Amino acid sequence: MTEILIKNGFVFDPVQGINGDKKDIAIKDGVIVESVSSAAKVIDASGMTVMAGGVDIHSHVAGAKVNVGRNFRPEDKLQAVYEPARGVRHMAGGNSVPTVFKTAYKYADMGYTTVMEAAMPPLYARHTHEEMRDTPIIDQAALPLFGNNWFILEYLKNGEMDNATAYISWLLRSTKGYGIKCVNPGGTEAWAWGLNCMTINDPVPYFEITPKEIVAGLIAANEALHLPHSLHLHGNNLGNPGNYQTTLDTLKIAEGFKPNNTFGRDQVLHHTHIQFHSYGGTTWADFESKGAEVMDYINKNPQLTCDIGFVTLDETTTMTGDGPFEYHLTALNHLKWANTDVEVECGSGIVPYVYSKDIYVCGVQWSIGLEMALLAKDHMRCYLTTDHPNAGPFTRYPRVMKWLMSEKARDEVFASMKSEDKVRDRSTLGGIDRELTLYEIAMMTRAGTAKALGFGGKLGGLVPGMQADVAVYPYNPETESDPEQIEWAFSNAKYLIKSGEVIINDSEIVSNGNKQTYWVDVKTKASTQVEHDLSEMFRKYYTVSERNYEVEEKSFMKNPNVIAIDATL
Amino acid sequence: MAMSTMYPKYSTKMENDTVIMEQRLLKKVSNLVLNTTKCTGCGICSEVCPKDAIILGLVGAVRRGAVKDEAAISVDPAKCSYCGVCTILCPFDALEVRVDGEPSLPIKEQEGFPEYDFTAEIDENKCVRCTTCSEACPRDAIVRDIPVYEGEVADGAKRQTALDAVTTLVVDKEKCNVCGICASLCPALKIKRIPFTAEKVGSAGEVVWDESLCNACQVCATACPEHAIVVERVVKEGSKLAGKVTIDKETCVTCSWCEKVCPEEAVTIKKFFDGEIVFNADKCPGGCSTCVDICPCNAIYLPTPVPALQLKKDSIEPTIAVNADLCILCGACVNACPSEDVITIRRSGIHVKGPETDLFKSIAAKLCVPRSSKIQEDTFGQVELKPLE
Ligand code: SF4
Repeated sequence: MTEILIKNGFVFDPVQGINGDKKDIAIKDGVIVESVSSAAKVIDASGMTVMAGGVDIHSHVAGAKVNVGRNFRPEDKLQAVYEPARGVRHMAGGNSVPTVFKTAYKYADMGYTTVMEAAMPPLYARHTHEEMRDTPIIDQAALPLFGNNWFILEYLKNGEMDNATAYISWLLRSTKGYGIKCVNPGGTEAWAWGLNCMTINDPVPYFEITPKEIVAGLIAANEALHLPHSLHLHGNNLGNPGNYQTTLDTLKIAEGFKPNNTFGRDQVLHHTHIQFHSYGGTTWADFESKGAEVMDYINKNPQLTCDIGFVTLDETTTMTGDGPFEYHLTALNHLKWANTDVEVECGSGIVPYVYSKDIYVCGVQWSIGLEMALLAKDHMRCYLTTDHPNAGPFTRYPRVMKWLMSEKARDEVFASMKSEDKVRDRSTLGGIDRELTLYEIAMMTRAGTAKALGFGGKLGGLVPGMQADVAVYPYNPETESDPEQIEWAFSNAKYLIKSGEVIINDSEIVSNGNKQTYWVDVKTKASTQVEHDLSEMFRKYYTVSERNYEVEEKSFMKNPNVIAIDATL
Repeated sequence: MAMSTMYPKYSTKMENDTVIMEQRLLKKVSNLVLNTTKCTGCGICSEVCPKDAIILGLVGAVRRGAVKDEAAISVDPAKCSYCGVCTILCPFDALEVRVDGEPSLPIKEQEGFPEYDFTAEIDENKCVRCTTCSEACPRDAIVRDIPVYEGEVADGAKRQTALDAVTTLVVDKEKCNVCGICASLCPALKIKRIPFTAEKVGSAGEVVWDESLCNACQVCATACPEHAIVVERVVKEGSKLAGKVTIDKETCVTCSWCEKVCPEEAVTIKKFFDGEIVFNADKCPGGCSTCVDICPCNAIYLPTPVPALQLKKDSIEPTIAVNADLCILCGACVNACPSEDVITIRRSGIHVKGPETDLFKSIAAKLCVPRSSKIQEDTFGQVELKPLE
């Protein structure tokens, strides 16, 4: 029986409404408890900030395209020197696409304990799981891609909802996936022909279904399956001036849908990296922020959640299932481009990108993310991400926190820009003096994300009975005034406890933990049509056989944690 | 050895492009000679043979050249009666009966059998001697008896000779200063210069022009610094290329490509068979295209995929298709198709001239049995079709 008592810290737990009160957190056998015996190991957190373990809702940390990014960017390793093995730590390196070990250590240093891999090509699920298995410490899960999958396009076009849900259930089970991810609905399939769907009404070649129908169908399927997380969407027309209209059209699709689950999730649609989808203007010359418009709509619609995708102003690597977007990007910046089309299912692309402070477009992108987060009314529905590594590496989360919490820090960035006036002119950020509180940051990074992912009641808070994931940061909210201290403290947790086990002790990683991988096993009515279609599709169109497709827990996963749902009830 | 076992003596031998079947009697030698370069594997001979002496083999493989030293058909020299029905009805002129080395068709000479009646004509008045039909004809049946001009081969006839025209070139002697530029540019012009002499320094002489070398290009007139040259050409009304385009009726198979592509509508083709051909692309396995390769009329094609931008659920191109207008209903595709029920041929009439004897009538009835191919045949090594109806 392990007992731990974290004493005297300033506790921030939006789940319980605790806002910086000095409180002790007691842990016993991996969960938070009311109290512990006098034999408990005591951690003195006086003068420090205590929060639940961070929960990242969207990050590209494992699988095929991440690894292509690592492979084709050896120069990325030069930006961050390889750290040799030390203690329990393996050798670790890489900057924007770090190795699996570095990924785990950096998340741990930031006090994060759970990370959602944002895009898993079903056919390459084994790759994703092998990398997650080799990523220590952090609990993970992966979202398989559905928005360009031939089965889905076919079933949704024909209005066969029972077949769509039976197929999704089969695919989640086969790939050990967690929920429904949709990237550039229809557009990536069109990209297999060199085309794209730029609005929600552009039909997909051959399938004759529109992105609008795909999104509506996937939301309906998600709720019919009672999944813990909602549809996780990256909409059409990413990264183009004027795309906020497409984004509003897309968000409106969710109107009229109701969440249907027992996991405490309230949204039916999570729109990811919304910063990239909130652009005004018609070209890069008259490019401007429409963050206020988009955030206004989200504020008014409780069925929605979003994460931002903050631009961190770094040299980074973009990687997404949005194949046509990546091609568009390489045509803009002339840097190397990788592309993979995955049979029957999806596609992807990878291009390095430099978000330079000296380029006004990058400056405006930086402003839009912050502007949106500062205009958000409910940070339980608006989350901190960088779409790692697309808008910047996840290791910059503490820097983003600094910007969110300090107008002075933002002004310093503005002042360092070559075209400060132009950047200020194109968004409302300069006129916003709001500074987020640690309480709001805790919403954006643990309470809110855990709830949206369906981990509410288990993760994201410090309520007795919850999994004992606790981070202690060397930050005194009562005395600290230097914004730089925010960035430093949230990059260097003093203590981190995961499932009751001490991972970081006095700033030193002392354990590789006991990571788990979540997946969702949802039971549906059997569909002979889907069974028939699967055998037909594997026989005719897949290069692998149906029997060789499934990810077996035993070989590919470490500590699988199955979330069983009966959707036939 | 007794005479009776020695004669008649039968043999088959292959020599370059021919297969020669032979029946040797004491005095008389009969041959059926197959020209393998002409044979298309259509199987009409095997259908019409009164003695069932001809069977079809590996039509697709032979026609594609994948199997060498074998013909698409094989004839049993012992069963063959050397009657010549196959020779008369072969649309491709691939068979010949010879008696004692000489071509011989007694059945025709004795008016015991009719021959194909078809039209393949080019209206000389409408024909402008263009190159379209001769390039389109899949059988090389167009005889284009036209001079070869320099556009086709470097040393061909000069282009100006193609026109029925009168060309004139007039040099204004007043203006001409005998500079020599025109002659240096064009082979049709020469300068007859009065030799230079110190006695009378100056440039004098005359320009000589050869009409047969002039193509009225006007370069000399434009280049002349004194504007002293005027070139004019008057072309005779209705001038056409010399020569004539005709169809070789021996070679022509009435596919009607020439008729369909002729820009002047100068060609008339009347086919030797009536009937229809139907392709059921759903049954075609794809990736075979044997029928496309072996069709003697180039009537079969692989439809072009619809561009992605226009792609709809019902716009997926069929695996295979035929242009029935170009088909002669010869049947080679049915014989070669390895699938079942993809191609159906129904001949409904045969155009012949000459005596329609009972023998002919019974043969015509056989030719008009509708047929498709089948996957599993009863006898190994030979084509068997599936009679329909
Ligand atoms: S009908 Fe066909 S074979 Fe005869 S000449 Fe015309 S194109 Fe050639």
